[in-house]
Amino acid sequence: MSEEPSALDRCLALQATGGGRVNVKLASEGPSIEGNFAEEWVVQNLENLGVLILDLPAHACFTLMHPGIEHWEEERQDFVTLNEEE
Amino acid sequence: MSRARVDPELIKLFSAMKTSDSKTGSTRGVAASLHDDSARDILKELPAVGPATYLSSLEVLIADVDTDGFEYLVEHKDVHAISDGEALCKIPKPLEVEENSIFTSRELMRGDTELFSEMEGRGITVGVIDTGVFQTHSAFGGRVLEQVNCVGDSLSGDTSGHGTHVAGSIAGEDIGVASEAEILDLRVFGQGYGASTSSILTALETSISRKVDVVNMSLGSTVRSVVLESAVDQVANEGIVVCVAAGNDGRHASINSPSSARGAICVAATDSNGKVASFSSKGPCSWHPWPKPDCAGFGVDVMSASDSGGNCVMSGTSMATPGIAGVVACLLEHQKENDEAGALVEWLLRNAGEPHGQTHEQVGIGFISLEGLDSYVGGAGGLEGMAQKKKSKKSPKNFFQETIVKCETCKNARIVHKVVHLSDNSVRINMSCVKCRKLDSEGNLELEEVILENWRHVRVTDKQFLSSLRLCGGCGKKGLVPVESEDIGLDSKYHPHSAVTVGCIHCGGKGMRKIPTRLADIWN
Repeated sequence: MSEEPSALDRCLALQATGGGRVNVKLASEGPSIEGNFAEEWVVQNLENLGVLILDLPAHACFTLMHPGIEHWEEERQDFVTLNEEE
Repeated sequence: MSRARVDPELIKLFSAMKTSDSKTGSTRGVAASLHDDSARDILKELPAVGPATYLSSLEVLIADVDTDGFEYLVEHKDVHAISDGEALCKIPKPLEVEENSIFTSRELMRGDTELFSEMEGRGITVGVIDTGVFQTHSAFGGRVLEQVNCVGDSLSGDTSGHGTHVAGSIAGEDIGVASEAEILDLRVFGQGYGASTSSILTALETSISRKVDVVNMSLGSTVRSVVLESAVDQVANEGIVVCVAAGNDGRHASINSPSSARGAICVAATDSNGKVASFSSKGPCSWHPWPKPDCAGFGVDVMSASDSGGNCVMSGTSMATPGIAGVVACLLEHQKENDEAGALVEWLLRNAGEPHGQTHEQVGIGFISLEGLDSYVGGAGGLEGMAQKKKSKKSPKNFFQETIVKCETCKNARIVHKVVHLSDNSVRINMSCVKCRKLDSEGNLELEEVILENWRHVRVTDKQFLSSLRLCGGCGKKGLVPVESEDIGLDSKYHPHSAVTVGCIHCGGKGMRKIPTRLADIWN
């Protein structure tokens, strides 16, 4: 089984693709994330969920190493309806 | 060999044309289903007789072709199927099923219920995270409260018909399980293939801010999304019941994300006899230890609302999930006076199904219907009867006191010394019993340890924790009060904790309790 890429590797991979949209789950406890992201990168702040939707430029990818971030994922579009196609 | 599926009648027809000397009547209108990317090339290269039309929304090309054109289409790798365009009126119904095997979710998932016969989800709002809902369909009678566009595109209504069918099974008149429930339409699908993580997150956020009671998610992916799963858990923690389709992969260990989230009610699909559908994804989950699916609903040949008005038939775990959401709406209406209704409903969905001899990996706890829940909720032996008995006692017991704090040997309440909340949502509790406690070789008290792994579903309230912390080890009375507290450094796998110095108002004894800072703040 292949090992999970490290946080650094993931940031590097995102940077290599020029950045993009990421969904960030903030840690419920831990250092404040305030000021970590420029205002123009923040697409939405979902306060109830503790999630930020960001459009990060390539040079900003390493902000995702912040210890106040529990997890982040690149935007995906593969969620489908679960009806059986005839 | 041709990759296209060709109407056998067409093959015969064009074979006859090829062998015929006469050129009269040597063309035929055909309808070819093809890959959208190749449409332009095919239109350019096809030796058609007269103009060819490409219907991009259907990905179908219609043209009059001779034998050369027909052979071109048959051999083309991106043509999936060819039908006789002049006999389109003979196309069979999209889904060929025996009329008498078609049911609505209402018929099968309400059943012959007595206890819930008046319950129709009145006053309950269900968030439908889907393709949109045909708001003015007569089945909804104006109960689609609002249509929230979580995609940010310019579309409106239902983009595919899926969401309308789903909403119909929840709340449609004569077809839905909870025909008086209200729907909040949270559209996450646009014109493209799939829904994005961010649109679904936006919909979940809206579910919380709009205070819906139930969320229905008839969607999923075979690839895990940690962010989406944690968001589903967050919604469940807010007391909202989140019903999510298990997936249509059919195989062992093929549960989709986000139905794999611990807080999600993961729904498998059965046919009208309660037999698991071949397509329904089976447990266990590939990336989590907890058992999935949780329960099953009716999901094969389900009749519900169509986005073009009237009704249509669909199958899938997509169709099983709204039936469960409808059941939840009825249960919540029935338990509207109960502050713990959400937890009760989750318990029922994980404990009160009818498996019909099938395994947990196939159907979870089994098929859920309101009729089946009658015996669990009503009567002297049901939850209502038990609740009645509880009310008649002077000091009501609770789960935490009865099962966690009680000493296994002498059955007395143990003293809670330490409560540690770990960041993986488990809780470690260190306790000792006044009667049965032991000292180690150095004379220190040996603490007993209990770990609550399934913390979110245990639902121990702060009040219950604080109550257990007040028990004094000196006099055995609930007299401990906090004197002062100090933060203690712990590594990142723990939430912040404090050491609280306590004193007993009865015997004057002193001690120390190590508990999460959040609890210490409330206690102070």
